[in-house]
Amino acid sequence: MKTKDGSYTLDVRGYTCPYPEFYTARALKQLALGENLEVVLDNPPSCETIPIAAKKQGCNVLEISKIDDTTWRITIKK
Amino acid sequence: MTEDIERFTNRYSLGSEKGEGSKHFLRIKMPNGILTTQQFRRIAQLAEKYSRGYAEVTDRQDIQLHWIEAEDAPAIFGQLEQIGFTTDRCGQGYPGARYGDVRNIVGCPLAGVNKFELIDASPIVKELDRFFTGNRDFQDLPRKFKILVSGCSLNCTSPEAYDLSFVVLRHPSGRIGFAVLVGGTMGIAPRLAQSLDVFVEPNMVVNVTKAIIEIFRDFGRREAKVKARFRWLVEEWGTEKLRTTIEEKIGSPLETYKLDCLPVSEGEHVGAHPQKQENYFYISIPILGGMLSIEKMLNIAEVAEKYGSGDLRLSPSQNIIMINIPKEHVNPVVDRLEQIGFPMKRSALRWTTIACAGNFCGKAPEHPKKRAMEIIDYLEERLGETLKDLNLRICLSGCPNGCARHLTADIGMQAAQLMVEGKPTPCYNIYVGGHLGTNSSLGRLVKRAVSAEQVKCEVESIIVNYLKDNKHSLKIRT
Repeated sequence: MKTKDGSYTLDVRGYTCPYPEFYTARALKQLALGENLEVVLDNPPSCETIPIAAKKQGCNVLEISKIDDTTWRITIKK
Repeated sequence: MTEDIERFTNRYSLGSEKGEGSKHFLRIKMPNGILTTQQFRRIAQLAEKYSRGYAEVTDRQDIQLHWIEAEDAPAIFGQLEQIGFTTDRCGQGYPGARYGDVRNIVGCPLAGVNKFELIDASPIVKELDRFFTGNRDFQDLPRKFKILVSGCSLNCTSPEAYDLSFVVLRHPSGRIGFAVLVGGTMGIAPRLAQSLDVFVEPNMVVNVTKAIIEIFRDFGRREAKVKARFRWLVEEWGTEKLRTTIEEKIGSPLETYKLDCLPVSEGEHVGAHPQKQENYFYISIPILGGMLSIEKMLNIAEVAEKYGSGDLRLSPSQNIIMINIPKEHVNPVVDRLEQIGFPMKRSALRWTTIACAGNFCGKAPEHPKKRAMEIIDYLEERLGETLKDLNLRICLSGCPNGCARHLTADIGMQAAQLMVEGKPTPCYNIYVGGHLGTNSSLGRLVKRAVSAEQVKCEVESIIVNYLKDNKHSLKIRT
């Protein structure tokens, strides 16, 4: 989903490993160079595995932030 | 790599772990612990390719692999799908009280061949598994939910430790059906399941189970993960309210049956014994801690195919049972198993001891399975023949979560960490007197922070005193 500021958002809440990183990898493939992807997730181990998967695709992880007690956002730039 | 992944969601996932250099484990569900040697060989292939040649039988009839790389998951899921198995959803990583699922459904490992069973409950287990597997309506429970359905009159499956257990009984009228136990759990706030005091006919088990899990889903506590297991709802509501709500859901009253006590728990089907099918035997192979190499797996498959029907069962004490062995093959099979490294003629402790995989999950300060092996080796060396017919259960858990159910064991041990001269050192808290069945009770703490190196000596001392005192003074088992 594209947001107003031109970023894309991928909501993978409710998915356990390995799905969040697979869906992130797939979404990143579809982005143009320089575009951002915000991944919203609630599976804590994915906060470690998604950045690794993103870096494997040559992307930069800009930020990992906690939205609330159970939800995180990872911002990735392609 | 990602094209096909959607079709696996809701039925397959990886768990996260931090020990032994493993990031992910794969817990393969085997309803009622039933599998064939063909399936077992395929799992051995998966273990060889993806899990460093290592697999574990769990104490809930799963097979667990470790060191799984996320990128290999679609290939592994695809192969499991081909042989008809799924995995746990492994939602324990979520910080909130969400995404709990129905775990592998356990039953007596000898269902269908057990001379002492009142009913073969495995068709019920399979029906429940079919209903809950991948069912989106039941994938967001407050926490995991553990079910047991057993037709074994020897009470071999620890029903008091489950969220929901159906335990077979013969009604005074002669009908065979089930008592229902609810709200059992181990962990930091352990509780033995209590009777709903109802009698459920076999054809109602599925409906009653659906009703209970809907109740848990809709009314279970979700404000905090630590208070979200079904036991807390059972405590809050009481069994009367729970029963009434089940009756409203199924649309008919449940039949009252006051369960005075369960039969004495026999714990485990040990060794070689006749099946209910004339001239056929089952042979239980001790796999202490459930630890399997590829070689062991292939050897078991080969023997089961050569001498039996190629049907295997996983026991809740982490062992593997071959079934349908013709009577005349029993001695050759036992000799062959002994020859290829399975200690078939050693103490019963080889079959009854359970240890968790705490070294992988990262919560244990050391390797509970290796420690269990060391303890049993030591006891056999020191006490020899005395142990031969001693029906004791020893369980080692790596942390207070109690995955090896140490509080239900005659001698239970829970690992902890002690600071010795400024260095963290593994130790164990020792509990005795836990037992299930008639007058069931949780173990009581008798020794705190025994160094891991010394724990075998303490266990020896407890057993020696137990034997000296005519098996009663320590109340290991009443």
